[in-house]
Amino acid sequence: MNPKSSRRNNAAISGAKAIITSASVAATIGGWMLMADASQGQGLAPVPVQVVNAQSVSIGLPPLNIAVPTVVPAQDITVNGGQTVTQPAPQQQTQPQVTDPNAFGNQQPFPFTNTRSSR
Amino acid sequence: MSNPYPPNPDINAINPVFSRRTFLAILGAVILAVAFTMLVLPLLVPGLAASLTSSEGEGYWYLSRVSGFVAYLLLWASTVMGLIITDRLARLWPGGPAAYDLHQYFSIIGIAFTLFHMLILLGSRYIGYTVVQLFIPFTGAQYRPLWIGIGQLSFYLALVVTFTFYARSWFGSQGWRRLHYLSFAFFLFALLHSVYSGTDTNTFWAGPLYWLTGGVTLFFTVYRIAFTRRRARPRLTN
Repeated sequence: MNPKSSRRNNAAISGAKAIITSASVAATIGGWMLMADASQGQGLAPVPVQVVNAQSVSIGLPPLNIAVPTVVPAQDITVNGGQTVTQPAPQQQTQPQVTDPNAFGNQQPFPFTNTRSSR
Repeated sequence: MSNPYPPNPDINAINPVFSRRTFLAILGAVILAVAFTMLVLPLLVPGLAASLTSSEGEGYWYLSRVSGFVAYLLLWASTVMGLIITDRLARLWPGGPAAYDLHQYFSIIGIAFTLFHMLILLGSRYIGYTVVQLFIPFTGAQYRPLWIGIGQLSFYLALVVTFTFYARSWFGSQGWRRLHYLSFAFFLFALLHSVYSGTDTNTFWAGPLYWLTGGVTLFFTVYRIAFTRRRARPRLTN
């Protein structure tokens, strides 16, 4: 190999090495940028969404509306004449007394119903 | 026409890939690249700086993943370059001496990126490796310890194969060649580590990349075995 060709060959190899090194560093930094960017897109910057051409669609039976009365606790009631009837305060509820009719002392004497005279 | 590539090239006649001047030039380039990365890039892309200073330091994890791919590709290129040298396919392109030179260069820069791939993990609080866990195989239990350990073994094999080139006079030509067969184990381990511990293996691009690199290496290995047998046969008959 003549010296001129050898010099050209060495220059080509040096160029190839420079390209390999630069490409490797660029790939590393580029990959890092892509991953950092992708990560930011996922976690930190939510993409705004917009609904386009939205239509109301009813499927099947129409919705059933049933009026349900609402029960609220009674407050003071104003009647004619301007008198206010306040709701009585709840009183202690007493349990109904249950007595055993057969218990001793509760037994009533059996009534005589003999209306016929026996002769 | 004389054959520029003798059948048994003298390994001792090949100069190391780095002269002192080249080494200083690469060192200067690395210092410039680091300065650019640390000073200019955060101004251009604020997200990068944020990824390094975040609570878990995801940026270090991203850098480790990316540099792992770059290191794998560089070391794969070195392996293929070595195979085409012995197959004599290097005669077609890029030529024997250039192939030797690039083979060494790919190895050294691949090892540099592998070291970066490992050491940058020290900054990540996400994975939390210690220096000991990074350098002693199978000691890091945080994440797929078997496949990480295989990757660590692969790194040491690459170190042995690459740096014994500078001590080949100690081993002798034959011993050095035998030692160089560790390259096959190294590449297999690197591939297994990449496939089974890589978090990007299931992406649409990483899987085909592994198949392609593995397939090309297998092709050139088979070609080399066939080439060696074909060369050996006439010797036996003589």
